[in-house]
Amino acid sequence: METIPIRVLFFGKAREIVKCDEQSERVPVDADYQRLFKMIFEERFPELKEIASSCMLAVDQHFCRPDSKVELYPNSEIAVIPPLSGG
Amino acid sequence: MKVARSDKRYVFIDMSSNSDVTCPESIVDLLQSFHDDLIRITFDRLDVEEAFNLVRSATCGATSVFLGTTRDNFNGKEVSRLDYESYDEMAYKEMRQLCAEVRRKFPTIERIVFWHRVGEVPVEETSVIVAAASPHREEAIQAVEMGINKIKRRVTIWKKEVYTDGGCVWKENGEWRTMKEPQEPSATEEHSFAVASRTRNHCPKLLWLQQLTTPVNKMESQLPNRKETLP
Repeated sequence: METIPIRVLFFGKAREIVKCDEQSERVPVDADYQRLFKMIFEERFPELKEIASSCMLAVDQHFCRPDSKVELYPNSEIAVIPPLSGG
Repeated sequence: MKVARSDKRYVFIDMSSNSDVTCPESIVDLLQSFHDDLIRITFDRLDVEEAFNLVRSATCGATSVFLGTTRDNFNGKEVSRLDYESYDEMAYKEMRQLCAEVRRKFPTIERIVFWHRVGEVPVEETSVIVAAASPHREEAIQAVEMGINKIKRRVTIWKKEVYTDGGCVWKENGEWRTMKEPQEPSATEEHSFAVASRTRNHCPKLLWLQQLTTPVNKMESQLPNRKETLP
């Protein structure tokens, strides 16, 4: 299965839990949202599991829904988005 | 991006697009956005007078300004400050999109300010300014309300509440749970008429660019079987 390098970005509570801003990972090029979510919150960064239910992912600066089509490119940004609290 | 938080001379425009079609009008719109949608994420203190002076104009009888400030208490606990952080690239992108949505709904709005401070914001200091100006008050007031509500719902900024007893907690906006908005209705004739009737002074350079691109469109429409291609 072909994998590509991507960058996982962490913010807010997620950043505090994993203790870093960014990590490089390799993921299957055809991974869908559910697969990505599971990989990030259960496999690669299991310490994030406690906040998983309130988080979303953004791929290349677009919010993703569970039914979204995900297009990944080399060095795509996948951001772990905890509940927003701007404003 | 980090430099931009300390230097207001920098502004960012997202050039990526899901559309395969680019047209002169969209480029002109983009440049217009530079002029009229004033978006800033900064470590610096926010100056309400500066924001007001940027949005107001002689053709606008109404300027509406909202300031969000750090409150000194939450659920009986004494707050010392709010710590803000942001995903700048996505926050700028979302705020520019929000400006477009505000303009679709309130076409007489001239300039918009969406400013957000990041880093430490002590009690009573301003963390966000939303401002808009229009000829009459109704649109300015409603545009600002829409702006701050949408910022709280969609912009990738987070705050941690820090208490005087040393504790802290990451906050969550109530809007987060209903983040997915229904699709907005398409433009109506009334909207198009209002856009065409804008009375503000366009930046002369943008008018020049608009006029320059008009002959290109006329030429293309005269050529049969010509497909639109990317420049």
